[in-house]
Amino acid sequence: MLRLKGDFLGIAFGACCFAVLFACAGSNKEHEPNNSFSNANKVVIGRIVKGYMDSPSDRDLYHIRLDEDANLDLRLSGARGVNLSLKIWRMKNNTPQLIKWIDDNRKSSPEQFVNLAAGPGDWYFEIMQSERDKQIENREDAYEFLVVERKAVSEEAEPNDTKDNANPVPPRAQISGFFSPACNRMNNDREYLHREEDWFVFEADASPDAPFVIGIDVSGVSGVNSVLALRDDDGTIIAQSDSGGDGEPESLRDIGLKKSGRYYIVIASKNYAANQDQPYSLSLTAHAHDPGMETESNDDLYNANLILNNVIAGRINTTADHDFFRYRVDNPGLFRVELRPTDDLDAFMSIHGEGGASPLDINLGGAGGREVYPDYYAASDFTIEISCKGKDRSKKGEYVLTVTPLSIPGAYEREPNDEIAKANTFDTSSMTGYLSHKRDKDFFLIMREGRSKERFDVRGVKGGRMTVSITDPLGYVIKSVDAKGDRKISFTEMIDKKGYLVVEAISEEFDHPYIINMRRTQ
Amino acid sequence: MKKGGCYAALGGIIFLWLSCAHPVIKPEEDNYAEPVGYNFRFIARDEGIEDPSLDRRSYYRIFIDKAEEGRTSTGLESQDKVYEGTLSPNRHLVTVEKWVLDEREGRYVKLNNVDQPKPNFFYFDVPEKRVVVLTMTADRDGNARFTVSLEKKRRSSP
Repeated sequence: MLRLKGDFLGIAFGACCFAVLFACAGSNKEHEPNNSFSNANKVVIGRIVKGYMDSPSDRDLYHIRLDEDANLDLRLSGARGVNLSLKIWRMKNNTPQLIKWIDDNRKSSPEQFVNLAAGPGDWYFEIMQSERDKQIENREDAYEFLVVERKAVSEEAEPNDTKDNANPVPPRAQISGFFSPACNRMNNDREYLHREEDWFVFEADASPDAPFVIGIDVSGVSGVNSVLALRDDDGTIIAQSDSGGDGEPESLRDIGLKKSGRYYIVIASKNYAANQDQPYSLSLTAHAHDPGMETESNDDLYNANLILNNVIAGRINTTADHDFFRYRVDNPGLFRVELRPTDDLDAFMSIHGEGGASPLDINLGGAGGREVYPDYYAASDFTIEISCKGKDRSKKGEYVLTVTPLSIPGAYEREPNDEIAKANTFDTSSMTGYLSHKRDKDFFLIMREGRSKERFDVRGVKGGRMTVSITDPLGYVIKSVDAKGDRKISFTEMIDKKGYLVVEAISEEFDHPYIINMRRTQ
Repeated sequence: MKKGGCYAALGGIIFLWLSCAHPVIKPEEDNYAEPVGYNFRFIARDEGIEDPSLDRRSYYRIFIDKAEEGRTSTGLESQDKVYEGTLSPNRHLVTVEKWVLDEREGRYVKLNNVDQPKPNFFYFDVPEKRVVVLTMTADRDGNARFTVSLEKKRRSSP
């Protein structure tokens, strides 16, 4: 309700300003016939011209000659019962070229366009009736047309609707623009029909070994749900952001560009929203690649970033963002994988092994909680995927991912060993393992020649709790003991040629291992 | 004299025949096995089970002189379940505790006291250089019968 009230007040205020501007400016009347470029009426910057739609097919053309660059805003009032539209033409080699076609609103409503970067030469403004409403004659209610020159500093220069007329934006620069007009009748792209887009271009000097890392931020604009995209010179979308809602900003962070060339930033609104009064601010930052930092886009297995020096920092930019990191394994063994997110990020981690096996999902902590896999066994390279849990837009943020090779003397468990069929063989005197995830179960197979009485010395997990069970040959539990903390407990049990030792987590702790020693007593 | 010689020859033949037909009878105690690895063997089984669905997987925990020493092998109630251990030559008390498989839980659970074998204990002597075999058979009502014997030497294969 408050927001509606605010919007209403904003519109009323804008309308008042519009009216005051029109009232302050002097006015002229059109002189018919002005239906062609040759008899277009001259228009003076800052002076209102009044005109009528003398017939349903009436066209009123106005002409302005500029000697130097000017930044123009165009304001066309509504005329009762008439749906007006405005075309902007530029004369080039005695041939008129259509620059922009503004037809946002329906009958009786004004049209407005800001930031026309008009260079020296002849410009024409054609006022006509839109075909979207019934075209009528109206000799009683005049429209008012006003061209205003505005000093623009570091602003977009319309038209910048396509790759070919993209505005250059240097790195580390800030530029502002408007979501204006609401739609571009000249955009015939099937996917984005009539979408008004602002294109900006920059050059990058990069190579695969020395990527160019950029960040793009677009501020929020009231009433506009914006979309931000980065395209390469072929038009391919490298990254895009649409995580914010109405009035919310969009950003692309840590995008790594690995080849030199031109890149394009495209800003557009969703649902043909416009705001002629409040500009957006676009900032582009660039820096050299830091091997300890994530480089977008790394959204799939094939574009994973390499983890160097066992640690990398990254950022979940949107709720749909997925970051992939590859870890090179020189020697087979156990690796501790730990993800530490910022307080606002509820992270989700998956480990993808070689060979297309199902990924190992780790989701232990809530927002700000770390995700740990304490003993991932890898014989070859593996990839870690980081994403954000939930659909809450606020759940995004930064994180640090660490992979640590473990050095464990003697035998150690190898996950997955959560079921009898995947039991590790316990054929040594000692076994080290971890409670790897919630409700983790570790199965170990013990084989003996005959019946054997075994003594088990268990040192549990510091800060954790688990049960240790011995089963019959079929896997049915015969004896269980509770191991709380790292207190040492001992027990004996018979092994009938074959049995299983089962470790089951009750209270998980991922920083410390358990150690089980086994020796024959009879 | 001739007749006497014939009698002597006949007597010799009969003696030889008798010697070959009947093995030498050894002393009774030589027939028992001497301990190798254990000198006490406990065997438990249930009798009178007619419905296989009632034949549960089970084992017995063995307490010797009130201290837990181990357990029998696992098996169906109708099967022999065995515990072997080494005891000092003396009189001993064995107490047993029956555990059965709860398939739903995936673990063995101790039977209620009312369902435990009755009696669940037995006193017996362990002589030197002998293996005592204690067999417990229980009926469906839990009535247990203990029998003691000495393990005999196994016959060597032909």
